[in-house]
Amino acid sequence: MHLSPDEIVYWQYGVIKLSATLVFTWVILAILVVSAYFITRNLNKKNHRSRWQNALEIIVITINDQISDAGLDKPRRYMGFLGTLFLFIAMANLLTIFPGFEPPSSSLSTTLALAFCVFVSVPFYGIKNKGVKQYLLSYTEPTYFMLPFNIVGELSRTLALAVRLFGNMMSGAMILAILLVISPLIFPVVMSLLGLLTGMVQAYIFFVLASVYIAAASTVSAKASLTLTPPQQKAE
Amino acid sequence: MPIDWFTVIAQIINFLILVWLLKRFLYQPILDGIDAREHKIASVLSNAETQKKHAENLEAQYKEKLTNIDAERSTIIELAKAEAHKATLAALQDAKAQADALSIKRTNALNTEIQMLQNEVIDKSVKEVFALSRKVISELADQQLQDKMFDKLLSHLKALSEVQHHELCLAIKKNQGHATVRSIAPLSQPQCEHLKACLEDILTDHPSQRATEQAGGDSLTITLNLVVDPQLIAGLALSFGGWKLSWSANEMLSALQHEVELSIDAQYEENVANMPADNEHHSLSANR
Repeated sequence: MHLSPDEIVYWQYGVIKLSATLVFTWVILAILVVSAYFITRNLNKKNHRSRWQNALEIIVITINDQISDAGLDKPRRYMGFLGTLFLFIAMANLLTIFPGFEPPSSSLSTTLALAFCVFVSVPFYGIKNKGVKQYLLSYTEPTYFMLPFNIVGELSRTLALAVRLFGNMMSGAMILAILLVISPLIFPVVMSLLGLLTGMVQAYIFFVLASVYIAAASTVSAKASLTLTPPQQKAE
Repeated sequence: MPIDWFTVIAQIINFLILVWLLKRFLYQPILDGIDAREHKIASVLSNAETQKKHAENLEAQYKEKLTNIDAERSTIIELAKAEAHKATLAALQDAKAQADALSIKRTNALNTEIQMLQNEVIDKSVKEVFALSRKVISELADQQLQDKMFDKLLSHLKALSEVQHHELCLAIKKNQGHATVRSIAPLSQPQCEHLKACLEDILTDHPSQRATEQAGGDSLTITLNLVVDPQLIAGLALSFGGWKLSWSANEMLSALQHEVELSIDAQYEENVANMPADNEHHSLSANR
């Protein structure tokens, strides 16, 4: 019994370890990329579309709308990062229905890596949209007194992201393993379905929270916009 | 639970690679396809809008044209009606004028015929009246009437004007004093003598005769050629060649008949002239 797929190591050379986390991550990566490639290879840009194309369009448009609903003005700029977050986690959690599959999201290393990416992307998009000074000044809002609390909040929410996903997925796998020992028939199936639901919800939560964090850092406040906007001059 | 930092770093790299790959193979093609389709739909809608506007413009133009055609048709129909009405009125007036002209012509012809008949009747009546008058006078004419008329002739000879007197003298000279006396009965000897004496007196009073006598020439002798002429009806006629003096009922009646006939003819001409002219009426109707 192991708590994380990190503990399953197929090959090791010094610090370099080929764990189940990496292997199943590559599997997910391969499934996503290959299916995307084959579906989008012969895209029909006219009215007649295949069902797979329709499905992908629904997914992409839904992600786009969700990013927009989170408060980001130009959702396509964030589509690559945020959409991939959702698809990766959702795919990892969906594939748990296959026996023997170890979801990479139940590894703290993976969730930490994803949370780190979010942790880096927040200031990246914030600085890109607002500039360095305005972004840094946003930590002092509403007063300079709040600066340390904001920094701590930034770190703790990143950690919370990682731990929330890890905890949920790990607990799901654990409950399933324990139930298989206690009651091997029927009940694990129900729990497996519940695990699928929990996995999708967690993927959605991770995606939405990342969107909200980026939106909070990227949105120019009314006060800032007033100070930043240069006086309009007549072009003469 | 230990954290495997190699796995963390490897997962970060894996995730970034996945981000790039999905961008390349999923989001970009799908979004491009959606954009292309939206663009196409927008262009189709725009095209449809343009065509709709074009169709609306065409519809408006056709409606306007139809309205114009209706108005033009109404105008043409009104004009045609007015023309037809005008032509009908003109035809009616023309027909009426022709009928009037024919009526007047017929009336005139009838009037002319009536006038002619009246004239003829009057003419015949006058001729009958004068014939009757001649007959009555010829029946009444006797020696006593001739004597009276002879006396009247003599009084006329004596009352000749200076010009007539001169002309008579010239005529006597020209005919060498040979006079022709026509009467319904032969003149008596005293009457002949009396007439000769009267003519010789007239001749004697003429200056040329006096000059001849003073020059010791022969005086001109008057000879009378007596002719009985029943056509005179009553009275006498004295003539020297072309010069003639008569006092006869026939001549008086002839003169009177001639005057009456002239008067009747003048009245007829006046009546005919007073009839309405056909052409005048016809031309007046045509102008209207």
